Amino acid sequence: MGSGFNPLYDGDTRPDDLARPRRQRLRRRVILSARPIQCRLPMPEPARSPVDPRSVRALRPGHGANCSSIGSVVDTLFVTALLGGAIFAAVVAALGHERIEVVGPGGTGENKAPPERDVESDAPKVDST
Amino acid sequence: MKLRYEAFGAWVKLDTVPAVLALDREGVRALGLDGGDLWSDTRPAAPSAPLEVHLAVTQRCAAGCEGCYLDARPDGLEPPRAVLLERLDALRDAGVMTVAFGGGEPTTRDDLGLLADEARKRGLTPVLTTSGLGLSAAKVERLRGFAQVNVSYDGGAEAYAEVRGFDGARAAEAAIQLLAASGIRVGVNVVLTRTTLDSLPETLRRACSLGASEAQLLRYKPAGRAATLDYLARRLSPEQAAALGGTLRALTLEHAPAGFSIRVDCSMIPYFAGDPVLYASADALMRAGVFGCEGGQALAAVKVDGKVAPCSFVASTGLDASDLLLDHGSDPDLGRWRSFVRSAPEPCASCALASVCKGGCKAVSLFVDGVHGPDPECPRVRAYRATAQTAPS
Repeated sequence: MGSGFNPLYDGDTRPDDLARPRRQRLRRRVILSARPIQCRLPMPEPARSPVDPRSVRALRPGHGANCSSIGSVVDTLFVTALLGGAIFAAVVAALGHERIEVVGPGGTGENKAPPERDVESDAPKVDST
Repeated sequence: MKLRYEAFGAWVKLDTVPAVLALDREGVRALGLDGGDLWSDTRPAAPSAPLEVHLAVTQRCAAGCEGCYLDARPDGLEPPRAVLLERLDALRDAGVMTVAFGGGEPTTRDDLGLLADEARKRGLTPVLTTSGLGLSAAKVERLRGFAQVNVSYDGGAEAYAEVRGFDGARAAEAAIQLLAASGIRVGVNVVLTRTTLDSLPETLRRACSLGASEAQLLRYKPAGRAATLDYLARRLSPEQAAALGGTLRALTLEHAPAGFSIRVDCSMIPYFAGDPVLYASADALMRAGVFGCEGGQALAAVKVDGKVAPCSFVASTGLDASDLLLDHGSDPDLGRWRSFVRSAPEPCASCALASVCKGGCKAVSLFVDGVHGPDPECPRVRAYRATAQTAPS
């Protein structure tokens, strides 16, 4: 039954985190954001294999274009056989050929990685290069 | 494609197909990537940054809609462009994928097109909501940078006036046509009230015939100028709310063959509890990427003063947009929204849709019940409360 918790976010919360001192949280987050850079090297493009459609745990079609609420397409709920199948096929195909850009903390895409915050001074570090 | 690592795998936003998907770890590995320490660390991961942020680029608007959730006015605040560019930087750094420009009336800004281009440069997908009032061909040219533009269109003259207090239907219809003729993907935002729901089928047919490719159905919410007792008379009736699943099913079957898509906003998911089929379809809803209340999680709003809110309809937290990367996961106000989802009270705790719905619209519960609690207009919550009232003490 409902746990009030979306399985998409399993392992995605840190209930104990708010109890940690702010500095400790920041340090840990900075470390986490820095470490993956060593193992996330998407350029040159890594070798790919076909993505199993079962690996797509959720698919949100459309761009969304509302400034106030987050919207969800419901078409696929009611006409899944044809429409849902077509979208899924297009998505899996796109996963096979689109260029990958990693974004967010630890990202190494075209956009520069976010500035790391100096934990001690709490000020942004400036890339001097 | 843009890929953002998550504990479950990654969120992926495709470039060639308008879609966002949650890919599990095996799927990410198939792309030749690995989440590294985020995946190997056995401790629970930090809450992720939002996927979608609603950015208020102005508080100015001359329309004066009765139910404006922002209480926008002709002399409202308007952040300088440089400030908005800094906010876009912050969204990029946090790994946000979609930025929805709103206001106020965003098209009153002369630099709106430039802001869309700047969002694109930062890897963000910009989308826009406008009233369409005063939208000229010249203004439309400035909107080409947006992936989609939605026009507020609650129906014909009567329905439009019912929601907004004046008849702006013809202007909205002209804007839809102009945008579609210009090759810009256009959708409509339709606010549902007790009175306008009956005309929804006709409203969607009209929008489709004007060139819109999508309708976003919005619940009327008690925020801004709509936070009055009048809200109680305008909200959907319990019967309308409980029957919404069937209404959506019929509308989808009518419009999907023509490629006209129907979306519902996060606050309407509680109504699904009134539909036996949808109530038993939590897995399907999850797989279809249906989001209920995502405040504090996948959704955030940045208001004109730069403060972050769980959504556009509730008060800001103390978090500034510039701190989104470092502090979204630790902000105590946003943490309260997340903890509600983890430990929701009854009847949400035993609801089959809880993992999708997440307790329903908190803007409504805060206004109607005065607490951050279960959505009082959810059919299941209504039934639970009715039973509790009649149970012997």
